[in-house]
Amino acid sequence: MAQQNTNAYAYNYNRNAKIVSYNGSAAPKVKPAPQKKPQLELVKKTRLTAQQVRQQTAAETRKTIKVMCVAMAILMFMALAIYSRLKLDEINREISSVEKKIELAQSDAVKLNNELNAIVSINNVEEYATNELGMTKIQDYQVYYIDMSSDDYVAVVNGEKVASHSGINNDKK
Amino acid sequence: MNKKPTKKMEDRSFKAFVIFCAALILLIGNLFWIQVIKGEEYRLKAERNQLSDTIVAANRGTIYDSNMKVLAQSASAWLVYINPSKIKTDEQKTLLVDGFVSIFGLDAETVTKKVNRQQSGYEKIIGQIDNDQKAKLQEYISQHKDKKLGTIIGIDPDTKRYYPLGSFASTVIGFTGSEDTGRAGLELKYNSKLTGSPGRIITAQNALAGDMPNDYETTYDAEQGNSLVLTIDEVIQYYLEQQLIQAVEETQAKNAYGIIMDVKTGAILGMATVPDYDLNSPYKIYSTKVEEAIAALEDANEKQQAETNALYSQWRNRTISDSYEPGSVFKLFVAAAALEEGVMTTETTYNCTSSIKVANYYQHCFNHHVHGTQTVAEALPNSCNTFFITMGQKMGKETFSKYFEAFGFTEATGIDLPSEAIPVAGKTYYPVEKMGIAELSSASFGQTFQATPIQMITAVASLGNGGKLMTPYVVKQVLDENGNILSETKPTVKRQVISQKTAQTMTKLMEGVVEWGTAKNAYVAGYHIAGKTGTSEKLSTGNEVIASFAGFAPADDPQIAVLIAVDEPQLYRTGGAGAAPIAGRIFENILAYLNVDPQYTDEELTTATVTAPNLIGATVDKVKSQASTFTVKVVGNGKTVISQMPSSNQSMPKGGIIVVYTEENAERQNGTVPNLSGLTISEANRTAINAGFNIKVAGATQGANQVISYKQSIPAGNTAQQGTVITVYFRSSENVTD
Repeated sequence: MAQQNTNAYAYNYNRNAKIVSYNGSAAPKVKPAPQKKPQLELVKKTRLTAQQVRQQTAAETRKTIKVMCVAMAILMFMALAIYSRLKLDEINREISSVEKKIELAQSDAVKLNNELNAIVSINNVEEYATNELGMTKIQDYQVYYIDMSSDDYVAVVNGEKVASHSGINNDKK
Repeated sequence: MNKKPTKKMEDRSFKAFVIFCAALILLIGNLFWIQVIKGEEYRLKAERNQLSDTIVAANRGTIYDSNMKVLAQSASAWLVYINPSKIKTDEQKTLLVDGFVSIFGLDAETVTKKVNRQQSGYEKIIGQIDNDQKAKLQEYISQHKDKKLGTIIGIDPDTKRYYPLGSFASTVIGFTGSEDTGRAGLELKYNSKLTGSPGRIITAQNALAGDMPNDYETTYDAEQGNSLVLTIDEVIQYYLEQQLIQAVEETQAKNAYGIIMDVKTGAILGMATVPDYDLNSPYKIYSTKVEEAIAALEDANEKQQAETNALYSQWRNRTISDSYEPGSVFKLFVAAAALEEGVMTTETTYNCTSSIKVANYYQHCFNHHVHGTQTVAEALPNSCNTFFITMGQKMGKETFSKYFEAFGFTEATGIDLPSEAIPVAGKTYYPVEKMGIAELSSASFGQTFQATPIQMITAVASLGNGGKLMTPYVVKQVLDENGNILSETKPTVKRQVISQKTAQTMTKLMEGVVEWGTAKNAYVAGYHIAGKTGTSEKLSTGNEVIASFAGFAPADDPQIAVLIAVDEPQLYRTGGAGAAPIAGRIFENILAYLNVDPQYTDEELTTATVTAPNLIGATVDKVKSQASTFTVKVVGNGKTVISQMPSSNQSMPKGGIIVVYTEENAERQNGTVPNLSGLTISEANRTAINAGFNIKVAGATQGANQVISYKQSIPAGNTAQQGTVITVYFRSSENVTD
């Protein structure tokens, strides 16, 4: 409707070809109709009222806004998709980079732990303790056994110890 | 207007349609050809052009000792290679050689050869380099960016095996080759379990075949192999290795080997061959003597063969791969069989006249000793050959062979280590159908057949665990990557060889061997040790012998079995003199480590030993008046004792010296430790006290004047605080000649 109104003029071709009736058994005689030249007819545009113009303008504005919104939505969707893809790639790169760092760190940790274990091997510890620190292996007399079956006690009468029991015992026999 | 197409137009349209259809069919056909028929081929071609596929080696599993101490572990490393076909200039060649030589210490000639192979697209330069070395190489490449070394040098992921304790248990653990596969020991035996699944890194390549950034990279992680937890205990293994090293030094032997086994389970707690090698550099020859001998060779082929032989020799786990004539240690099994079968009792006597006629010749006791009338309780400590020849003959070859087989001497033990020697009937021992009286007689005291050390200790352990022959094993558990237990080795009883009663009798008899017999040098005060010595001639080397000891302790509740063999000793050439003292020191250290408390007899407690009294707080005058069983040396001008050396309760010899300090800041009195070797107990005691020290007697003490000191805990010449108690080890030279 809006489209028709907007056109100021339109061509109207006159197609008045005759339909000839047929009512008998014999071949009908066709009398050729006289050829008429098609004529261009100028259709006058209907003059729009101010109200109609305003309505038309408003409709056009709404349509433009709609188109722009859809276009923006599509653009934004595309931008977001690209951004998320970029972000994902960036995170993947970071993950990959961190994984490599972890692997390197693990490798270094194994190497350093092994060096440490080699340094603190029993052989080295004993050699250092014996030769550098002058230590000796623990002797029997240095081992104290603690009997936890009964409490320790000290009985004091008039400030003088009269009886006691200690769980600590280094009797080896 | 309705206009019909002309005939010409129709023709043209039809032709166009036909051409279009033909083109379409052609296109579809071609598409089918490319996508379906040749699709796979083109896909592979495209991938080859566009992708770089790198295999990432999986880390091998870790090997732990029984206390989860790491013995072998793999870590990521790097492999450096070059593409010589991309070398354009001589300057590049020079830079490559210089760089590899300076960064990795490689041989310039070898690197030059690789660099000059310009037809080749791949030449490995070095593998298993660590991150530091990789960083140095990358820095070098950056420094010479204008020379485009980066297009020639490639760095691929690799793995490296670390053995933190170097030569520790080397013949048991083994090592890996360049392809990260096991070459010896457990690394070989458990290779399939230790090896993981390799991963892949697929990277997109640019038009210049260079790797594109990380976002075009796909990684399939490698799966680490399973880990092994051994029955080997680091501390026990350490004691064993230390004592074997000392055994080689003391006896000037070619080598020495030993095994320590859990009597009840058959688990191997320690296993060593000395000299051994560093697992981190297994291709280096560690014996200086062997190295010198090889260097003296002039023929290149001979030299190479000698080097190969030397390497195989140092990698050899002699405790399972070598067999020897066990000699008198085998008498234990003859005695056990004779007791079990009722051929003799503990009361049965036999008169030894030093020799016995067998077939047409005489067989003698060691050094032609005449042992006289004796029961098995004396014959075993005396290691009387004629007694056991007689017992062997009495039981007959069928019974002998039955027990020979039952104790496991006709089969491999089945230990989970590679290259165990397998007995062969008719070659390493006489089967019953080929055994005559001479063979039976010789076999009865441990000659004319071969056994491996692992067979011997497994059989000896059966005497200590109630007669059960166990299957020895080294791997306790197999763990997955996350430490979950995948499998666990359970102790396996092969068979009940003798009754518990016979086993107990044998234990008592073996105790006698250590208390007063040929194994008295294995005696340790406070512990009941059961054992037997042996000395056997090496048929292959003429006059050389193998001196050995096998036994277990504590005799009342056996926990560990120990076998020590000293191969070709030049000094102390018998089991009693050469191997038993080593075993004694091993028992002393390990039983203390296993928290087996020494149970001293009254005799042991009173023999020339007292405990130092507590003198702290006492007045100097009082201390001096009490000093009847010790000598006092007072340091300082104070009136009461503030500290003392030795400490209260510490064992010290009767008449020993106690240094007391009476002033807080009095300087400690030091002295030079005297040489206490080669002395009797009383001589060593006197020498020590004269120098201001005390001694603690260890080792053989039977017959105080027959034992001679051979080792002291603080070396002579060292400075030590006066009053210190020095442990002095004594060795008997009487009746240890077997």
